[in-house]
Amino acid sequence: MASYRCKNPDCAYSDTGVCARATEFSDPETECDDLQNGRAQPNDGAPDTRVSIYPSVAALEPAIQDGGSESDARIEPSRFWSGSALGGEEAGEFLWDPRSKLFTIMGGEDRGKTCFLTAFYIQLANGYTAGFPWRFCGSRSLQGFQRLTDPAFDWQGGEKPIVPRSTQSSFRQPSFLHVALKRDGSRHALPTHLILTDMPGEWFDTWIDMGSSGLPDTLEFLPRSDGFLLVIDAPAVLTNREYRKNVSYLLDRLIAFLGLSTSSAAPIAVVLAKYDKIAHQASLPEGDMRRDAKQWGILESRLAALFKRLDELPPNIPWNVFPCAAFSQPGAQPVGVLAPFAFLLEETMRLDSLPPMTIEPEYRGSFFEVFRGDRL
Amino acid sequence: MEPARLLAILGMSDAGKTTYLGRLWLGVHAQIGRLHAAGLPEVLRPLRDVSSYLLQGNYPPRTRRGEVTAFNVPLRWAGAKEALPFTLAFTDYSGEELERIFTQRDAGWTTAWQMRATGSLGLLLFLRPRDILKPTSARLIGPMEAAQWAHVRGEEPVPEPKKPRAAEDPAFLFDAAFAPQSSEELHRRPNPDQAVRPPTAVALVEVLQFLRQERRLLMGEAPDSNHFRVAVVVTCWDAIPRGVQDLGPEPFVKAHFPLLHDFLCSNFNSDGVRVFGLSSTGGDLADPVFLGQYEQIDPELMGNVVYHPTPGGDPISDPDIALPIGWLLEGDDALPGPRTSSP
Repeated sequence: MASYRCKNPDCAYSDTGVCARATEFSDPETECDDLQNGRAQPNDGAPDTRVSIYPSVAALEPAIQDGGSESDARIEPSRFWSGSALGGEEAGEFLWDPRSKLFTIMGGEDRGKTCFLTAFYIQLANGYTAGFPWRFCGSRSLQGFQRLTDPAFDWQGGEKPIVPRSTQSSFRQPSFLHVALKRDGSRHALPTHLILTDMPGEWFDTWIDMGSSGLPDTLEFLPRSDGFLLVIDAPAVLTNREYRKNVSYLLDRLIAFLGLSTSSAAPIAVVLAKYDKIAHQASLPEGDMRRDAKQWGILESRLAALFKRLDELPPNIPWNVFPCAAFSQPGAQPVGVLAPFAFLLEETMRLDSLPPMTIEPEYRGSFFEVFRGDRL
Repeated sequence: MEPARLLAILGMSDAGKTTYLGRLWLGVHAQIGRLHAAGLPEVLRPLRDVSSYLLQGNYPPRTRRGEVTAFNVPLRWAGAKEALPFTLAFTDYSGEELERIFTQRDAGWTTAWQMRATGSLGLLLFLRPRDILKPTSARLIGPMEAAQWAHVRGEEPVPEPKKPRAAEDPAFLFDAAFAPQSSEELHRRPNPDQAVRPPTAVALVEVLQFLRQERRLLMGEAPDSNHFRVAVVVTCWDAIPRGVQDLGPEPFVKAHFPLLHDFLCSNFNSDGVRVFGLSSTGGDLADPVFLGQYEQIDPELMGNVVYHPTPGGDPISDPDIALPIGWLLEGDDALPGPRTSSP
């Protein structure tokens, strides 16, 4: 018998005459491509020259030179993502994918949006995901998250800034952070891409004052938003009437926007940031009770007007309220930060799910009754 | 020339990559274990240099920044049914290289990295226990979220901050506030009563993302485990407190490198990732007592790897420190125990 060699590393046809894919071929020598392509001259006792699936060392050169240095030839700058934050174009590429979820984080200047975003990443990176059934799968903005996180770990308490502020001077275009998540226990499922906005509060002030015409470019992604995180400074709500008014203006703009965008059913998570500073005075209702202003104790009168507006939203727009403490003290775990994300993800996934079967099959008796002809 | 099988080594600086390579060579040359040298490499000098430090009872010096050494070692995996010789190719480099790629990605990617990404059969991912950064504060708050709120509301007394210890004390790294002590605690994910920790292994995760991108893998897409595996190697395993060692390397990585752990779980099949605890020398060569023992025994007989034969099962120790490489090449067939998968 002539000797053959096979490209399939699991096949021992040349030694045993048994093809690894014997069930597929009646005559492997004529039918199997792996074997035909590897046809060798009859083995005349020459050294084993079976084809390897691996490259030769020579093929690895010039990248690796034995015993010496490796090639440091730089290749293709900008081969990868920048890592810091996604620009509108990069975010847009993700958003073609229906599994991507764009969550817009709204709120005034210095009201805790960036701290909230930073605490979200820290919780993921700490593996503290109790009550958040998602796992980190990757990120195109790890450096961006680290840029926020590193100063936060230097914070020693007090009123000093915890994270770098997102100001109008540093942000001229919308900036986004990205995290890919997989649902717990779904190792083989495709990930959900979370695109989170990181924008200066001044933009939202401009939106309040000028409407969409004031920010024709910077808020153009708003209609694509799958969910909104309205970050409210809880201590300021308690004490500052002007701030409360500004929050209601912002909410009015958002509600008007949602009304214009009739197809939108994007959920809204109202985040009461810095809640640790008033937690000793205010109540802490649970679950859906949080949608009732009366349950918030000292905050009741301050939140009532906001909640009234939210209650007037169409019923297909879910909303809820989440107290949160991103950095209550140095070294402490953030509290309540993941809950609004879990809420938005859950609600947007519900929107993505298939509608229920609306046609009920007519009951004609059990299978056996029909089979026996008992019921017709 | 023998067929080449390229493995990529990833690890931050001082992670023990060079020490492992030196000790590995001593073992394969002496044909201890199942990975045997099939003759001498054409260029022996780098391996000879690295391993001679170990023969003298010293750690090899830290690889200097920018210094890169390529090894092409003719080997034979004696554990395989058909022990065909092959050349194992890998390069040792300064751990700062990874940090450079993370921070200056445009300038950091070279043809050699490209080859590691697309040509390697597997990755040896070195983690050092000292990559675990100490928490910035040992002050704790309530055990569960409700208690946390009660605490910030002033309804529960503030726990007294722990007495700070010297940061250089290695025991600090495994403080009760930081490393759970009981088996049950270690298997659980971190709790709110633990101090917040700076993210660990972020640069490693980023470089893994680059490698996957070069292999044209989508985010979350698991590669065929027969063609691309990841062996996570926790080095200096002997330096970890005995109680934590007893639980094995998998819960250790899960508890202390959660970002990396979740990334690996989300992007690889369960049979494509395996975690090993590694002690290349069997103890600390800087410890005079241990050094005294070390000098009485051939270095190739020192050291061990620890792994879990079954997911979540008890860890076992194996003196063959080439096992992570054997597993990368041969999969679970390389393991002495029954065929299993992890993590």
